[in-house]
Amino acid sequence: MEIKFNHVEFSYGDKLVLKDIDFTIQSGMITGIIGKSGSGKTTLIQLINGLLLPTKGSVEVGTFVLEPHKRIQNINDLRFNVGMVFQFPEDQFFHTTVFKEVGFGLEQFNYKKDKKEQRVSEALKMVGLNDSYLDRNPFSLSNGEKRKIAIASILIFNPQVIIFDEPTIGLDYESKKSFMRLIKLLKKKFQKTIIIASHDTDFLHSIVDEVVVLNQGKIELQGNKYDVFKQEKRLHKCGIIAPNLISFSNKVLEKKKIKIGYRDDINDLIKDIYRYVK
Amino acid sequence: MAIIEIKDLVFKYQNKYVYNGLDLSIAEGSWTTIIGRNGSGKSTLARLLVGLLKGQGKITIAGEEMNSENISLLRQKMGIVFENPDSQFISETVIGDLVFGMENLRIPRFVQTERLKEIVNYFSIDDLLNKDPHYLSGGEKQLIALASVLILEPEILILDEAFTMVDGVMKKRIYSLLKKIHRQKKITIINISHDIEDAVYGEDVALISNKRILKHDNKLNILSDEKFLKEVGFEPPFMANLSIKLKYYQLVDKVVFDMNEMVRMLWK
Repeated sequence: MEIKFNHVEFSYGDKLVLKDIDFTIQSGMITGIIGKSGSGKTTLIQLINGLLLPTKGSVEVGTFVLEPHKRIQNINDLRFNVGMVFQFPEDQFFHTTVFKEVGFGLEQFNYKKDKKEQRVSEALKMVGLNDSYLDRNPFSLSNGEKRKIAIASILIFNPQVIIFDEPTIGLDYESKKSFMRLIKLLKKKFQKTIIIASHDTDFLHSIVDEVVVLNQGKIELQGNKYDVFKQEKRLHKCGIIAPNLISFSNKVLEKKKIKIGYRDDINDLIKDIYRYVK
Repeated sequence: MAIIEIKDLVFKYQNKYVYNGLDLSIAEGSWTTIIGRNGSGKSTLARLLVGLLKGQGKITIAGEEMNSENISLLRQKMGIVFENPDSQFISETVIGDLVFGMENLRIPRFVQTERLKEIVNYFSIDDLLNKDPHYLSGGEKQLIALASVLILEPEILILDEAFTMVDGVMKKRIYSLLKKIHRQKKITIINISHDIEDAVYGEDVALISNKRILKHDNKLNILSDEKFLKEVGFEPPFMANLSIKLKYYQLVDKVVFDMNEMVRMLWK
């Protein structure tokens, strides 16, 4: 599902938070929204599922058009197609068992209620959890597991677009790795359009296709991840540090005037270095 | 000399062991990063150290064994910064927050003025002094939380996942400030984190796993031990990882944490 921002502005009262946001998120791609805290990342992603409406301009989400002061027709259809996982998964938990939690949306919206048990199991399986979790209390799980439950309760609607707000904050190495595998699976196997708001550039670099950098409510940079991430000075101006892999290649270019290239994986970087040093 | 000595610490939560026989000795003036996975009980350790929780076993701070009678005095030797700075703000202005602790400890006004001047200078926060701390950016909030603790001149600074939510550039700025303070004031720093990259800024690393400190050594020995880190669910930090792999291909002969040094070593 393609998402198009058409010269969008958004204000909280008289405070202008987003200015002239004009870009397109391609269907089936993973897009990173980067910016330091207060840059407008969270506001921008909330404009995609109709939690907020633009003050000026419009947001097109598939066939839905979100415009200022205009009631969204069939808002539930939009919400089923655009799932959002919040920064702190606990914020979206209501129930004391994983089964009730993951199945909550189906009951609440009277949506695809049949075969609830099967749907809950399938959603858990997609995030790598089995039925042994069904009776467990979601609040008592580890941070990584909580995030997986929050994702499963979104996946049960089979949304076309999934938005993550700062998904890696507080996650340790193993949990982050497992989350990365899940995102890759959602893209490859289930062709989801994925949007990730984060300031964790090392994580984003390993997973995204496209990047949008926000600075004080405006788009500072956008494009494919290599083109954006290699512009270290401009990222720094926005409060963001470039990914380590890119930063190292930049350092070699700056100090030795050698272009060793930009890589996704440390082993590929090693091969490049080997070629140039040996 | 050890400024903190923990012996045979046992702590249970809801009848489950969080710690079962934890020993840890922190040298005075050192900077130790305590690393552990999610759910390993890192924050519990921070709370036990400042007496917010009580376990079994012995905790000695600056030569005195912690008990219910001396806890308030021992606490004055320690400053703690938590993950969420909002929970630490009391005043409606930054300057109010900076002086609040000193007022509480009845530090003479002329000393307060001197310390305030010094910390504002150190942190370059003149422009924030009259702002409401609650409305600052995430990074600025953590900067002020840290300044409010350091102004009390603790001997030990405990950082409990303090920079988890701080953006890249601000995080680097805070770490370089901490390095300067650590060097000049010889303050003992304990930085508790789930992110192994944070260990690069310190001197020693203690790794929590399986309800105890599994390994405690200088950072070079721990961060370059790929096999051990893998066993406990971690990967070496980026520069250590790069060094280890380049060493394998005999392109470098040691682990370095600095990118400039690595480039110099590779293209001599």
